[in-house]
Amino acid sequence: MSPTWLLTRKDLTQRLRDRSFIILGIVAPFFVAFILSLVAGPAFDQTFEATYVVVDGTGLAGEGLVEGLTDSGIEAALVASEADARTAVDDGAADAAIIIPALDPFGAPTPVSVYGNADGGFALNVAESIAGSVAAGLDQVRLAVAVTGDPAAAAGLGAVEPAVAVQQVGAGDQVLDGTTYLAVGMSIFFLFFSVQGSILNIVEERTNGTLPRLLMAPVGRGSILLGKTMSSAITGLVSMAVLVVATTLTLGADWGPWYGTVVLSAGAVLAAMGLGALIGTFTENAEQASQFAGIVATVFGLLGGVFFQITSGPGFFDLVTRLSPHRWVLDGFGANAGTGSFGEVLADAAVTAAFGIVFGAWAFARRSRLTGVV
Amino acid sequence: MDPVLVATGLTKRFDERLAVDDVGFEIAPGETYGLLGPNGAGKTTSISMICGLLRRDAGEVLVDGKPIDVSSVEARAAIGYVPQEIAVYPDLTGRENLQFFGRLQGLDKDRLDRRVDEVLETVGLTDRARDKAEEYSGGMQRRLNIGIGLLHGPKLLILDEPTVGVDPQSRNAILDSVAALGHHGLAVLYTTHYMEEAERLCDRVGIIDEGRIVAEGTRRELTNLIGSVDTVTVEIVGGTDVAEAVAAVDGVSSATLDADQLTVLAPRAGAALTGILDAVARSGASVRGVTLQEPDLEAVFLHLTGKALRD
Repeated sequence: MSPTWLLTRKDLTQRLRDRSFIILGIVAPFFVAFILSLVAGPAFDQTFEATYVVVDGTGLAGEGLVEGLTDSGIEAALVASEADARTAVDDGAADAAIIIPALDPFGAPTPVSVYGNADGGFALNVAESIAGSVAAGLDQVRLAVAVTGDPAAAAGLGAVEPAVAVQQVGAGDQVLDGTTYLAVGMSIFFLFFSVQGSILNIVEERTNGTLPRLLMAPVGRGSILLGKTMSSAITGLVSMAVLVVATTLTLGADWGPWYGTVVLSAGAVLAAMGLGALIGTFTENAEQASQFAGIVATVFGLLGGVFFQITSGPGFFDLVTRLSPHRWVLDGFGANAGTGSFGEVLADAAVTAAFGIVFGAWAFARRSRLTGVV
Repeated sequence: MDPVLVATGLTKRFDERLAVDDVGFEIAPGETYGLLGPNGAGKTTSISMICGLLRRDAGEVLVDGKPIDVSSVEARAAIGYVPQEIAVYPDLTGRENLQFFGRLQGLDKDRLDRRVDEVLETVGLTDRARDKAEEYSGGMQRRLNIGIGLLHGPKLLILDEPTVGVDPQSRNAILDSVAALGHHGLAVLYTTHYMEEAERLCDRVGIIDEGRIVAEGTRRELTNLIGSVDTVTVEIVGGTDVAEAVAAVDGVSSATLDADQLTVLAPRAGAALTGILDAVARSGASVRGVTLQEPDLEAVFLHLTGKALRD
């Protein structure tokens, strides 16, 4: 038996005996995902619902507006008069009324108003937003008529319609349902704990004197470190495989095609191994390593969105979240389970693995701190 | 007979601190060599360099004629290393620990099975071989720790303070085991800060302090360094300038007071004892106990370094 495999087998035996692999690698992520899917899963899958009535004084914009809203999954209907609209809101038949007055091409800008209850909440805010959009469109038409002096340009009112489309946004580009998102998130979150814990076993061995004893054996030190590394990789991949099967069968999670799941899991395991090794070079003993690893895994997990969905888009926060390997894994699983191509999945897995390579290279440069051979 | 270990000019500096300064010694087959010194004297740093676990700034190490450094692989097979910590896996049984380290040392199955049984017998753990190491007493874990170092039949066994934190009964068992090793032709390097252990086990002793070996030889050679000086230890209460008064007594070489313990060196302490006790009484101190000891390594260390081994 090669020294590398001997060491790997010893580590795996220990991980099974102390139950840390079972608890951290399988039981904890499965049950946290299960509980969160019961408690918070419906919120993840929630879509915006509202009922609007529209009064169209122009006789041209209302129909397009109602059509646009209906296409966006929002209930909307044209009513004949402002009084009817107010009645519908007062009776609770509608959340808000969008009132479009008659267009005066040569007069002042047309104010599109919204009628609703003060406690109308999000539905009222959305209605106000739509009203603003319609008003802007009307104003463009008014200006066109005023400049050209041709009332026929008012026919261009139809162009107002596209501006009122409401996009239902879930997790940005991701299309994971709530249960799957939580299953993936928790699996990745605990994967980092599990794999980091496994590789940080080197620190424990250094502290209790068994690492110097291993290094005294007549085998290359590369074989020793490879053996320790392999047990971490196997721990992580087995943990992911069990979780994928368990959450699919019991929670109905949809991880997407198996090959995408494999490459993303491998990328995540590599990132966790690199991070764990790096943490090991900055810590003095096993207890400190464990605490440090827990903090880092939690911060990266929160930042990467394992507990809540992060919407893609520009901005500083989005940039910051991309500093976490968890974010890339989650994006990758979103693409894998959704409409993303395998190329997108591979790209996300590659970036995740790159975290591991960078962290690992940094750890290698500081390896004397890990092994104690200075 | 060629020495098993030849260490010359070992030097190690940690930043500005010179931890080991030009340390060198040889150990012959069947010889037990003690490295005696207080905590922080440089014992562990020296053996870490000998084992190739620490890069040295200068010096050379030959084990069984082969050079050892941090990149050596095969040459390390000649060394059995027993670290100061109990370097065993607590969640593996005693037998599993031995089997694992034996396989790592490259023992084939037949030899491994035989050696595991032999070592379990040697360290007195045959009956507990199937128990996890975490269920062992501290002394049993220490014995397993030593057994792992012996397993592959090394030519040089290095024991780094193997009795630290062990109860007296287990300590005796460990010392008996180590004493028997030299009889089988094994070269043993034994570090300790316990003078009694060095006296009991070691054929030769190197006294190390502040990174330097200040004296080396057999017990007799070392005690001869300070002449036939006996040590009188007087437990006292009160008094003023007691040490100075005692040092002035005829036949007394030196007197030092540490808390309530007065340590007096005298070539013939028996003859000077009355004068010593008179001087203590004149200084206003009352005597609570007196012990007289012939020269030992503690006295040698005190003589050479001006401090006690446990300072």
